[in-house]
Amino acid sequence: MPPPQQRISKDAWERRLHDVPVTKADLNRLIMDYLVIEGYKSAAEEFSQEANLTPPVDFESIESRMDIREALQRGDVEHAINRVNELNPDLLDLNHALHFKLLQQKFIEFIQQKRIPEALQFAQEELARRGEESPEFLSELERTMALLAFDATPNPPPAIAELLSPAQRMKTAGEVNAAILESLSQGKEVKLMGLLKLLCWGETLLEERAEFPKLNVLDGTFSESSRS
Amino acid sequence: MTISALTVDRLKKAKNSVIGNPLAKVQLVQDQVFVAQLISCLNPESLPFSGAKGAQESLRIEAAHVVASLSYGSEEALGVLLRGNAHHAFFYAISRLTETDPPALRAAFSRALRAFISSLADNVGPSLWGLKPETSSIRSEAEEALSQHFQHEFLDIYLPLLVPPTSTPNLSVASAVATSTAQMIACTTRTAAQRQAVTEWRPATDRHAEIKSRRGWEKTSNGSASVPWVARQLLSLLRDRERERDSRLIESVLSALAALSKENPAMANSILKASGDGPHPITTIINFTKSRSIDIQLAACLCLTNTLRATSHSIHPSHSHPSSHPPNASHGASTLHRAPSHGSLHPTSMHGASVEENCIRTIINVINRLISSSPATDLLGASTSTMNSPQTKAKACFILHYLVHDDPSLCHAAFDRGCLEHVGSLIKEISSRESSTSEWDEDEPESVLQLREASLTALASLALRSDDIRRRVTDELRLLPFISRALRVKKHIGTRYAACQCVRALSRAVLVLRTGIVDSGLGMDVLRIVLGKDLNEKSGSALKGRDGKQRESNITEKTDDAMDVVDSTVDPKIIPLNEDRRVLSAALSAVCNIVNDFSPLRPIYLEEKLMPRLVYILRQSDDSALRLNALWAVKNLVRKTSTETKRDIMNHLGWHELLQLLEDPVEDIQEQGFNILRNLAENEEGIAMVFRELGIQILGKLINGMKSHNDDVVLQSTFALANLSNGTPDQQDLIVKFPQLLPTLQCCLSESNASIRRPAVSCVLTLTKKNPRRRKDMAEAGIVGTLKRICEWSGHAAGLPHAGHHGHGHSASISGLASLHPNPPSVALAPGGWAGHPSWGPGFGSWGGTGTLHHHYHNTTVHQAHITGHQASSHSMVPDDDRDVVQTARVALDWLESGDTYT
Repeated sequence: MPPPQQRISKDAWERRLHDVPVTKADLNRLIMDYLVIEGYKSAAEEFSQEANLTPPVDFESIESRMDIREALQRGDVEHAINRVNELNPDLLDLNHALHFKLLQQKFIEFIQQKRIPEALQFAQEELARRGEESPEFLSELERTMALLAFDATPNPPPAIAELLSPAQRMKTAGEVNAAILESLSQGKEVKLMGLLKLLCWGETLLEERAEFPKLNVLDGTFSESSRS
Repeated sequence: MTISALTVDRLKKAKNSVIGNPLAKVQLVQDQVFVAQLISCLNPESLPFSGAKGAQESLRIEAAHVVASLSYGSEEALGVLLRGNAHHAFFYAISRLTETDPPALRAAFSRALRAFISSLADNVGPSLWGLKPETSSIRSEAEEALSQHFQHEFLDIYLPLLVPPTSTPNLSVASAVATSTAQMIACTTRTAAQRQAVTEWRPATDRHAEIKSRRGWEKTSNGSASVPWVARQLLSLLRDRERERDSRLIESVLSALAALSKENPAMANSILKASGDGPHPITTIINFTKSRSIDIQLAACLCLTNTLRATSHSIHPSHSHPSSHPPNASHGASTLHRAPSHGSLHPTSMHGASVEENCIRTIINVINRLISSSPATDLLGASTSTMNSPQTKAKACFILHYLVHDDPSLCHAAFDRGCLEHVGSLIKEISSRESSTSEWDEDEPESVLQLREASLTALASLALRSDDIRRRVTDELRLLPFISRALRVKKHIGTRYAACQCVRALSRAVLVLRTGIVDSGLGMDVLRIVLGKDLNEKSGSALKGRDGKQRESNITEKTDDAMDVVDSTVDPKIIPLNEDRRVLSAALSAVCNIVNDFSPLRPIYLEEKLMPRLVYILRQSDDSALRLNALWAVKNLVRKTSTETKRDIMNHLGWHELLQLLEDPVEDIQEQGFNILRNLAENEEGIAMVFRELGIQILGKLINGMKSHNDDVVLQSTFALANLSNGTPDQQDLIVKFPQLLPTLQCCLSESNASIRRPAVSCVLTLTKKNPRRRKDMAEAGIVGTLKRICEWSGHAAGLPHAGHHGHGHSASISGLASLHPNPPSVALAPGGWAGHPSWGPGFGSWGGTGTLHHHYHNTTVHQAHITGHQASSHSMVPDDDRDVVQTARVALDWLESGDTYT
């Protein structure tokens, strides 16, 4: 038999919520964190002035980061690499895996554009060498090279085909973005997002013990539990 | 081509081509003109036009980026930059920077200097994590440049960069220079001398002020002067609440503190005893172990570990105190309370112990969490991938090694908290993941190879000091097959080295030595490494597994004289010393344990021609650590063995060579030489052999040894003399009549510590008892007077001890084990028959020389120290242990004064 559930009224719930001390400064920092990580440069700039907040990063770096992300999403890997080097010249020298990812993406773009001779030359001169230097890249390298073999096939195996999908570009862009954020001492994920997940997780746990007004994430209102 | 040929565009292009691409770096530095232009671009004076300042700055920034990238990842490119004096160009440029220069320029230069100097340090070593090959072709050049980096005039240039400018609006830009500088300290400060240079540095203004104000007789009592400037600065960065979100800065500051406090009590104490506003630095650092960033957690743990070990080290150097941890007693010390002899962190502070315990608990918890972490443990999204990465786990293992190495109570603290289980399952996990072929390192990423090295290193350190832990490793965790596989790794020397260390640590347990080491084939594996044979080759002579055990029983029946004597210098089959010297040295130290008298493998080793190999190493190697280990093995081989075997061994080594070793420039080698002599003379036949082969000249060598300023050499030479004095009356007469011998003995009696006096007094007693007429010689040498003083000093009038009784626990029953344990010297006390019987004829016994405890890792190039039971006891004799010396002195005095009545 389930334990008797405690029922918490909406008023009591809101009163309790108000009792939790959350400072304005903390809230401002959360918003700033969101603006920076999501790449809203001018909003972040204005918000930092309005809220009188010391900016956590150089605003130029936000713009560069967005530029890099966009370049990768449209398939201009060369430009992205150059911008990464400008933003942080250490990053690709020290993070071999990330560098390999970018080169792999560049190869994929050659294939996309049907520039096969260039793809071959690039594979020989750049990719193959990375594989020699770091054996852990070999299996991924093989998978990528298989693109050449399945070039003319209408239905390549899904593991190969997914390399050509837009999702692969997004994945590479995401990884580069995360690495840059980390190098700038920033979190990789927006803190608000983490808090929201924590909230949902907490509510699920609490649901087993009590009845309480749940937060409607979409419009920010509380919905009284309709359970009887 | 003129200098103006280098444009910002060209440099940007060069930068994009070389970043991440080692081959492009090598290709670029082939263009010597380009490199010269590049380096000259770093300083504005050498730029042709000074018009557009902004353009000039961009050019300098790009040049700094290119040089920084070239210095990573390619030794050749680094060498070219070094020859082009890039480091001087950097130092000069940085010395001219002012606060009005744009932050981007300052950041680029400090970052590039950090990259360049860190690459130099990586080339020179010692490596920060694990063992790296010593094959750098530019090592001597790099070493020279690196040494300049720690000179005052250079420290004056870059250490002040730790102070961030106050006027910059953007915090992250302002911290960039301080971050690079802290990273540089963390990465480059690796030796004691380097630590001292950085710790003792003060700003030039402080130094001048002191010179002006100081009068010769005054002591500087300025409070702040006692805390190193660099410590104050780093701690203030750490406490700055505005910067605590800058994880790069925090990580680099913690790493710098860790690098500086390693084995450096001055620095460690200034962290522990720092005062001022806000929380104590240790509290702050402990808080950082809970950071969201794994890198910060690791840096904080390393910092705590190094601080902790440096301070307890300074109060009670644990490596010179093994005798204070008898094996049985340390089993009980299974809580976090350190053995009392270690003292607390703050001898003066009431809270010292709890701070220490808190640190240890924190470090162990973090390490366990990192080592055992698997996916899906991390709910709140703190970078799960970093947490599981092999690099993270490897660092955690190395920190565990740094924390517990050479400290039995810390080993047990870690053991009780489950570290051994975590390390054990990690070793199994990374081994089963791959296919079952023996070719482990062929297609594995470097990071996994390093993780295996790290986990085995931690295992060896945990097992080094405790039989309990060793038994757990072999019987319950069953890790021997994994060690055996690791020994067979081909390319990665660090893994082989760590595996050898494991064998060495495990072979210290008699039980493991007699069973697991034989059955698993590990004993034969380390021998084959020493012999220079390939472990993966299945040749006929390899004794493995159960075969080994079977053959061993055959051979023991044949007794020791099975070995055939071949002059190693003419043996055509000798294999050169191709193995990495550190791996060979570690394998040799395992062999030292395995050649003890109670080891079933001793006769097999001799049959497999260990002796010619040891002699070859002694003669051919110029590495003193290797020679020392080889000699150590010889010493253990001649202990408690048949006269025939002794003769065979000495035929290999050469009697004349032994005499030379007694005068070797390296004192540790001398010590081993005298210890060999001591072990050879452990019975009457041995004494006769020594006198027959060496004549009375050996007595002259003994006098030199007893006059040495090295206590360990004095101790072993006195033991050797004590054993030789057990000979026939004629041999004893040689000793008594030898010029200067008795006065030297008197010196040892009067001026040395108890452990040296013990054999010295015994020697006097033996010589006197046999022939009371020697009384006169003894009195003339001042020995009678000295003995009287020894007895008077003892303070309490103990009754005359019974001749034939010796009540201090040096029973023969432990003598066999003693070489595996850090006990006081084992005393094989036996009446005439030398049978190792507990009862003891007055003043008549031989002193078995032991010392198997190789317990120093030498990841560094520094010569390793060997700690032996007797060596340890020479430093740490507690007054109680003096009593047996006094009693023996009384008996001897009695014989000397009234000897006639006994005859």
